[in-house]
Amino acid sequence: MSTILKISGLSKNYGALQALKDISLEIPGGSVYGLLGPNGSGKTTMLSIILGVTKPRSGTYQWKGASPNESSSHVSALLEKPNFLPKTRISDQLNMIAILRGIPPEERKLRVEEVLKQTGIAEAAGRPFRSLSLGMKQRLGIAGVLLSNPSVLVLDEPTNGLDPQGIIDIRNLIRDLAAQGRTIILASHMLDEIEKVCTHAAILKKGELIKTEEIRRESRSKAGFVLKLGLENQPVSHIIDALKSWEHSIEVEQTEGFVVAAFSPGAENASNVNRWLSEKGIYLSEIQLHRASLESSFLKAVEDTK
Amino acid sequence: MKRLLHVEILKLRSYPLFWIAILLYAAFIPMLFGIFLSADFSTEGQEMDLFDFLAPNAGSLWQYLMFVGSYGVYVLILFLLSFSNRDIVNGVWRQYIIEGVSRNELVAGRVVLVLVLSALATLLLVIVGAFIISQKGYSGIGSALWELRAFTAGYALYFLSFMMMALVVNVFINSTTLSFLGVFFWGLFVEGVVRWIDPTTISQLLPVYNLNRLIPNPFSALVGGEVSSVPELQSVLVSAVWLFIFGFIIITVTRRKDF
Repeated sequence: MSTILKISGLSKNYGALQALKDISLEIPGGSVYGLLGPNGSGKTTMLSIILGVTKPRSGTYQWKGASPNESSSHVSALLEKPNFLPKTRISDQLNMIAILRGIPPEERKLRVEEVLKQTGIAEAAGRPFRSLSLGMKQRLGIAGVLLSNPSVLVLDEPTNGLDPQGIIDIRNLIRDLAAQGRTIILASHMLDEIEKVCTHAAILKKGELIKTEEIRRESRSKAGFVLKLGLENQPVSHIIDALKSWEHSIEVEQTEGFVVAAFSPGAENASNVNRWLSEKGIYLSEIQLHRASLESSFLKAVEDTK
Repeated sequence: MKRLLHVEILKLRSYPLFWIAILLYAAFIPMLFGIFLSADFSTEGQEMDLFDFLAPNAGSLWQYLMFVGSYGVYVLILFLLSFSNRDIVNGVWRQYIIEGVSRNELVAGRVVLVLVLSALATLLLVIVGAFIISQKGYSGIGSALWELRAFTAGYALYFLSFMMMALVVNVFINSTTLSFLGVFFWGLFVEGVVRWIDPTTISQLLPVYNLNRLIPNPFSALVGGEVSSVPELQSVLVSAVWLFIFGFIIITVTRRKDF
């Protein structure tokens, strides 16, 4: 995947508060890139900067094919909350966005109708923005983003205020858009959302980038459980080779002196794994249920902000 | 830029306060004349029309119309501030930036609006003024307007600069009410007090002092002063410099601002 956005050393202060601290990040094209962090971690500030609405204190960002400090025309975004005039009809306001986006006059009406239908608010076309519910406003914000058929979508807490069905609809919509090859940058404070939708994730805490990770949803989702295994005075390769030969192990990897292995439900439980390994002459010094690394990093970020 | 202006026109058309402000401004001049200047008064036992006394010909009446009409700038400023803040408070400018509109274009769009309002204010004054003059049965409307054409251009510059000053206040305050009060008190009181405390050359270079001198003051003739048919060159130049300074401040702040 080629990089669609390169961020280098981005920092931002609001008075004495350092909202972003030297963030460097590369976002691959075609990915669904999650920015995960608790409230106040700097997600919206970072998105505001890469969209050009906020000025960084230092650092640069570069959209593929665009000049520094200027978001490219193929990017569209819903930032924080939908930005619309309260008393104006929503179809008129979408028409205005279509004009700004350079959609030809003969296509505008049809395109507005399409996105309203796509986001499930077609019946509200003639209503003023202020009369919509929170969930409908959020859907309208997404409709505005879809209007110009952008290749990159930046969505800041897109399921905010939606009911459970609305959340499912928007997540499915994001998956559909990603399947069409679009790049999606998604900020959320919900781990569940990032895990379910994203291919990559970056965790932010108090303006700092804690971790970036590729989410391997496929193998882990089939796992019954994941264990972190420690070995005493034995080469790690022994356990890796042994586990790879076992029908119930799905994925095995070495990490920081431990072995993390995902097992199918057929392995039953941790003591069964231990028993099977000891039969092979492999004795464990440590065995514990392993949290996905994204989850543990996120929990650490949340705990540190308390 | 063309796309932004298209959107601004659509927004303007559907904004009721725009039409209310234009109607109020247009009604403001005849209303004031109707209330204050149509009154009869008696002098030495003779009933006299106040119009005839103050403005015996089309030229002098045209000067009164410009003087009275210039206060209508506050109506247009109120609309301008409301229209601008509506975009900022509701995040519309933020969305425009996301949609690829540059900050320079946003400022240019607002300056175009101010230019249009100034031209509209001047045009309405000419229409309403010509109507009032013809109603009074004065002859030589055309020649009076032509003779005072420099003041008419000054009237447009006055509106343009005053509204740009309002936008300067607004880029710092971002509140319609507070910005309006700021401009109102600055225009009517603050500069007067400053000049009273320190009537030196620097004080003579203040913006509103010079902007006011772009408008003829026919009342000065009543107290023995001279009424010129053209605004002073110094006031025109100082006002133009202030206009440039206001534009520079607006663009500098907007380019650095977080939306």
